[in-house]
Amino acid sequence: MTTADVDVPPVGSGPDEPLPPGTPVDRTNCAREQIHLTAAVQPGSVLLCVSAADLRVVQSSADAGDLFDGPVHGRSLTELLGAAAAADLVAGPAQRFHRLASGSGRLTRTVDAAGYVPDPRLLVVELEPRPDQDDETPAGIPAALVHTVQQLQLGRSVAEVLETGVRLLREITGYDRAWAYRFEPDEHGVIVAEDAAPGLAGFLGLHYPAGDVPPQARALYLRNRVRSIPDADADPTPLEPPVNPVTGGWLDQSDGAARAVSPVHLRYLRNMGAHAALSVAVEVQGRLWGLLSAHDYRGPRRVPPEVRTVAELLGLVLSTRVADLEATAREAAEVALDRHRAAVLEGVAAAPSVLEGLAAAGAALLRVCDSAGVVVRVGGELRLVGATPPAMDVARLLDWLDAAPATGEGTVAVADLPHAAPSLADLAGTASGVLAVPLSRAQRNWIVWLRPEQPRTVVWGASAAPVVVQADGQPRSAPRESFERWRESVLGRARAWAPSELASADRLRAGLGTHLIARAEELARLNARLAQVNEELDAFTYSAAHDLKEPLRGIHVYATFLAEDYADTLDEAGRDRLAAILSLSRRMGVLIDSLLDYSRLTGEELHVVRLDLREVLRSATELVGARLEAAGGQVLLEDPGPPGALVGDPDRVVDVLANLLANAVKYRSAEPPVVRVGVRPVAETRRGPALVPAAAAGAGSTPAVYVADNGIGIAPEDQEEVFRVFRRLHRIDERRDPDGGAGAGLGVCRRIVHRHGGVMWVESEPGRGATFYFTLGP
Amino acid sequence: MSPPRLLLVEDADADAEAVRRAVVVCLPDALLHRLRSGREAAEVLRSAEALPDLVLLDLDLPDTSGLVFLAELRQDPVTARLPVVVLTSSARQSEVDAAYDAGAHGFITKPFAPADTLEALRRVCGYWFGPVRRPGVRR
Repeated sequence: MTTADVDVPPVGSGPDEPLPPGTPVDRTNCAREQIHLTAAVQPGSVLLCVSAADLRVVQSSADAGDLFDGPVHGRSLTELLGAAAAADLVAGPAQRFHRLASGSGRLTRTVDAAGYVPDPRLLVVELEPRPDQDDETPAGIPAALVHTVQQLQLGRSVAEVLETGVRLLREITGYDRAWAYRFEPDEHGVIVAEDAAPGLAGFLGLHYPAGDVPPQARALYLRNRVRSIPDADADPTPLEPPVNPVTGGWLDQSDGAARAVSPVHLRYLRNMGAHAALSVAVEVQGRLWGLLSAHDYRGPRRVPPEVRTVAELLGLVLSTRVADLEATAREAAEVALDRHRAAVLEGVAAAPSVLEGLAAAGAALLRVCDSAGVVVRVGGELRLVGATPPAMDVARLLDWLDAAPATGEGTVAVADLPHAAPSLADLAGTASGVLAVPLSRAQRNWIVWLRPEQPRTVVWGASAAPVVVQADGQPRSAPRESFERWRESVLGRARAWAPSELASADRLRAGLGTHLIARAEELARLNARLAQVNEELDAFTYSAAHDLKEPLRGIHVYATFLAEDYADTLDEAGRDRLAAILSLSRRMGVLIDSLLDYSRLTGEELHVVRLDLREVLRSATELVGARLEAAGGQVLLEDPGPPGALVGDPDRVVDVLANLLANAVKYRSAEPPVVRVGVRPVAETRRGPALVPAAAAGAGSTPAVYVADNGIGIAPEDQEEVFRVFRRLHRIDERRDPDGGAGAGLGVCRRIVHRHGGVMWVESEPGRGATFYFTLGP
Repeated sequence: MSPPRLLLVEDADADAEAVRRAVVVCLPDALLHRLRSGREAAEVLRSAEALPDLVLLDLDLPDTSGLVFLAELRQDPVTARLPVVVLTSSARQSEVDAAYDAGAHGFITKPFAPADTLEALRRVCGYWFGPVRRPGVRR
């Protein structure tokens, strides 16, 4: 900082920083204008700024001397206004203003005086001279106050109250026209009520861009509720000196009524044709809901402080009424939504599943969020209610929701899907508005309410003025040069989701959460019961098979002895039938054995240890050794895997391997059977990743043991069938395979694998051998 | 040398017949005494002049279970060492283990076909009446 800068308070001038006061302002930078620091006042008002320490004037509007007997700088407030008035003003804002008669102190005119404290070291006094012919105290003011409050109480809706408000504002100010201006969620404004002199009406329903009331102006309205601009045509009066000598900074006029108007806003008013304006804040729940604005087209028109006080009261009462009526309407809407939600939850409680319950709720589900269509997806199952896109397109919408960034509870609410997701623009007809609540984001369960596109035409009362680059290269644009109306078609946009609807969706989700948890518990209970019943069934099967085997063995034994002892006494036919009995009872014995093998597994505990594939394969090979040798076959251990890779019950794993080796012999091709055995990651198998989610996800999983033979192979349609109990695919010659063919073998194998928490499958092409895979854990 | 004496505790006639025929083939001079229940067998063993050389015991008996009978045999010092081979229809590992825990010397799941019963008994008898020395009898 150079010494030359010392007098100027440091204010940044970066692209987003506030502009230093005095910087030329236009539409390109007016959002950064520090309108409360303007070192000037409106013409017709006089500003005196005195030091709080000695009440002497340190800063004033340039024309302040005109109200007194000469220049004011350095003189005391007591001298200038009289001791009583000065004391009142110093005491604080007990009154909005003080009427000071000409001759009081050094005053040469009758004025209304109001004070405020912009800084503890300062006191500012604003002086407004009364008109020359003035009725002392307007007798109508108390009546106007009562009338204002009464009238506003009569309104039964927000629209009615606003109608009354604009009418009253026009009566109070005597201006040509008054508007109620409402700020929409995107901060652009719309005229929602109008009262105007003949020929000046016709603006109702027009929209104005958000920039017409920049953010800092909105903030000031919440602090200083009435803004009066009596003369839009006159130049402001500068403060002298511009920088306050006590604070060394710009004078903060946020609380002042005389504060000069931004040149941008003045040009705005002039371009509109207005010569005077007055606006009153409408505040609802701490937010600037809108403005009541009055304009006069005939010429400058001063609104005296007592009338501005009435306008302020009008704003306050109207704000309260709007807040009350909106709350009442919201509550009524919520009560209706509550009723529909309760109906939906009741239906869900009685339904067999949450999904079916929601789908069956139909219209009530639509009304929970006042929508036209609903999509429900639970556990991958989809239900469509009302007007929705076809299922295929809904899938695209759900994909988009799945990928949407999760925020808070994960609710996604858009009113303009075609803009939020251009790839889904084709769904605008039924899904321009999307309100989606996740029931479980992990499981991709959603309830999605849909609203159709609501094509409408917005009539703008003004277009955003183009930025013109001037000869000096500076962008410069006039504020709102054109108040030409233009029509905009709004497409791909649905009616916005109201806060009460968002809350309703959220509450439904909470209600369903309870149901989902209850159902999960019910499911767990049923699963446990099912497991128990399965076990009981296995136990029953085992004992039934065991009991059946006993007499069957007896039949077989006696038939055998009959054949041995009485073969000679029987004729040919008798011997044949006896042979048939033997064969049939033998076959039945094999079937019962299969049942025993299969059901026995449940009652048996697994003795899980680290396995060495070499050892279990050796045991299995010994079990089928005779058959293997007879067929000239061989077993090759290709890759035993790293030590400790396999964990399981060795006896059961030997059963599985022996079964597979026996099958390799049984279903051999013309070649002698060659069986290759080893360990392989599931991810490197063809069907494994689909069966083992962890492997598909690339996470670690138990490796698969493979047993590959060079036999006749298995047709694709039989590759699941082979694992079913008692399904035999090949009629084996009984003489070649007297005890085989019951088909329970692979079913038992898979059961053993399942009990280990693993999976078992086969990959094969007919004529090219079969490769069986099994894992011993997830 | 006196002929081998076998005690078969078996209630099913067919199974008993299969064992009888097998023993006739593999130990032609043996004396096979068959009893139908555990209680009967316990009485006979208690009063018998001489104990059998080998007991073939079914576990599914009409009165007491074979396992209880076996456990009682082991409690009695006279029969504590008596060679007992279980011959029953079960194939469950848990029952096999229980039989050994109760003091069985062997466990055979009853074969379905008599030919297999013969094969099994040939091996059992070949063992107990071959090179193996049986335990002595305490009197």
